[in-house]
Amino acid sequence: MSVGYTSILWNSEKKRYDRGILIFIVLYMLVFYGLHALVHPEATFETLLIRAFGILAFFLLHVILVIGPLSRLNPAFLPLLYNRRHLGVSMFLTALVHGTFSVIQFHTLGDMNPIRSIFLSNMEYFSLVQFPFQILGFFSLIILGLMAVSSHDFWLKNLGPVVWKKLHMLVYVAYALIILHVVLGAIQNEKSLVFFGIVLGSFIAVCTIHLVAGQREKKIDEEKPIVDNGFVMVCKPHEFEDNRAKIVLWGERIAVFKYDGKLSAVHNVCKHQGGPLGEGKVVDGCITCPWHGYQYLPGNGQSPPPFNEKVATYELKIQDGYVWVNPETKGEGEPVEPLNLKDYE
Amino acid sequence: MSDFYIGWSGASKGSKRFTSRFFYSFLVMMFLLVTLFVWLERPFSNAMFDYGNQIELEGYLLEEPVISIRIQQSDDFEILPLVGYGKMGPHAALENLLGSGNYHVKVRGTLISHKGKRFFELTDGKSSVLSFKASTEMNHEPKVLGSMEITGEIMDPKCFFGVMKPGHGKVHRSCAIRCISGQIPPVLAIRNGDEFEDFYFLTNMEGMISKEDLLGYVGKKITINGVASEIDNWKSINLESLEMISEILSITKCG
Repeated sequence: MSVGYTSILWNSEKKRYDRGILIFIVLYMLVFYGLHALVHPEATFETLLIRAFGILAFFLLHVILVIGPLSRLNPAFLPLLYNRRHLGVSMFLTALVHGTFSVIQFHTLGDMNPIRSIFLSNMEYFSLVQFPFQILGFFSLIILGLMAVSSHDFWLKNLGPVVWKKLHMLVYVAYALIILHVVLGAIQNEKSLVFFGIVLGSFIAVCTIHLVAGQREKKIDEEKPIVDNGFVMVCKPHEFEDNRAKIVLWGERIAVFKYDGKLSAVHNVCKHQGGPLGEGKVVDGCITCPWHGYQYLPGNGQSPPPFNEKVATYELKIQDGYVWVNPETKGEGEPVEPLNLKDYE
Repeated sequence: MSDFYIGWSGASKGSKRFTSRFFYSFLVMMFLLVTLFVWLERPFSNAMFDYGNQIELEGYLLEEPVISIRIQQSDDFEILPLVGYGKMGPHAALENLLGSGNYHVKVRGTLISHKGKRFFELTDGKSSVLSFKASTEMNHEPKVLGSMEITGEIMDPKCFFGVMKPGHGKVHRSCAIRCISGQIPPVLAIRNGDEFEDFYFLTNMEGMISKEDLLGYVGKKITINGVASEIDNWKSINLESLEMISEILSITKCG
């Protein structure tokens, strides 16, 4: 399978998002260098450059990591999720500046190739105190680089959402390496324990937000569905909110949407980036993913032309005053007659 | 406009208000964090590397205890150890002169200075040697200070005395190893509290410790036994034994 490359499909929200990133980075640099010029005029430009970009990358990574679970907990954060890939690429570029200048500063113009020098200068691999922390940063930069270059939809479609998602879950490996890189490196350069406290606090915040969001998902997954004759109970018809879905779990999550007095069921996972369709909404007659606005027709799970994504569809019935779904899919993009609620009033 | 956010169709007023608030809150948090960082970070030393401003020096080329230029200023002499460009010693720049007699040289390069000590970088390699002539003048003999045991840490002087800030400590350790590996002469720095106050060049290491083993001691607290001597403004110690005291070093006042 091959997919043609198209450059970024810009829209006003993406431009606004990127403008925000740029303004933030410029203001951060002005504040960082300005305060240093006032308080530490002895500081060298290269050291400040390494520190400024390192700290910026560290905090941008934290924002990137918490946007996902925050959006699950509160949909108001979804605008921040929409163009997270651009934030990720910006974070990688800032990390790259930090890494490149660190290599130039500490490893070039010597008697060894700079990349070899990262691995062979400090050989205290079995010492916690003296551990060559730069290696941790080097590997995390490689992971972030892989993620940045594969962040375009071209790679998402070529690799497929499952492989792409797995590749991008490596961000957590990169994060662990970066935490160790900071704790075993820069933190040991400072006297104040506040720096360690900030790193620890940031780490705890990321873990806590993930755990809280995960706990909410776990509750859904732990609900024991009622099954009868191969059908899984969803809820009573009046419990549906218009244009919204109820989610049931039977092996896979299934999203059952109510729209125009009808019900349709589709697989809960968006084909684009695995977004939770069941947390989306029916807009203009299409199920719309809350993450990036990908759309599917509820009756057949197909994206409207010219798009060609397809999600699995499921059969529904009403029995004993409850809506039931058959967890055996009809197949991806297969038409299933919507359940007309008027017929059961 | 629906409150349900769809990126490609534009955000509602409520959504825009929320993201704007988040953005400005994040800006304020960033400002506070940077302020806290600048306030709490370790001060930088006032070491100086006069980058981009090369000057000329004239004096006698010394090869012991380390390759240096000895210059006269009125009645006093000052020794400025020589280093090469980057993380290299001065050997390549002086290869035509080293080991072939005594020379009076005129060199051009960049000053490095800190704590009353000055180094001189031969920035342009061989082109840094502007002129030289054989000299019959004997090198100044060092004053022997006697056998002693001193505890300190090995650092690369080029970075510590001005090229980098911080020029020592955990973050800088790899760089110090590269510099010493590149034949910049190692210095044993002695602390008084949380500041460095005395410095000894390590000499006579051949046969006592291999270069690889020595690099393993960089940035660690060690005790050295040997015979120390002094020439003009620099001390050195002939290594007789070396023992590691601790891998952990307390953090100095300035970086």
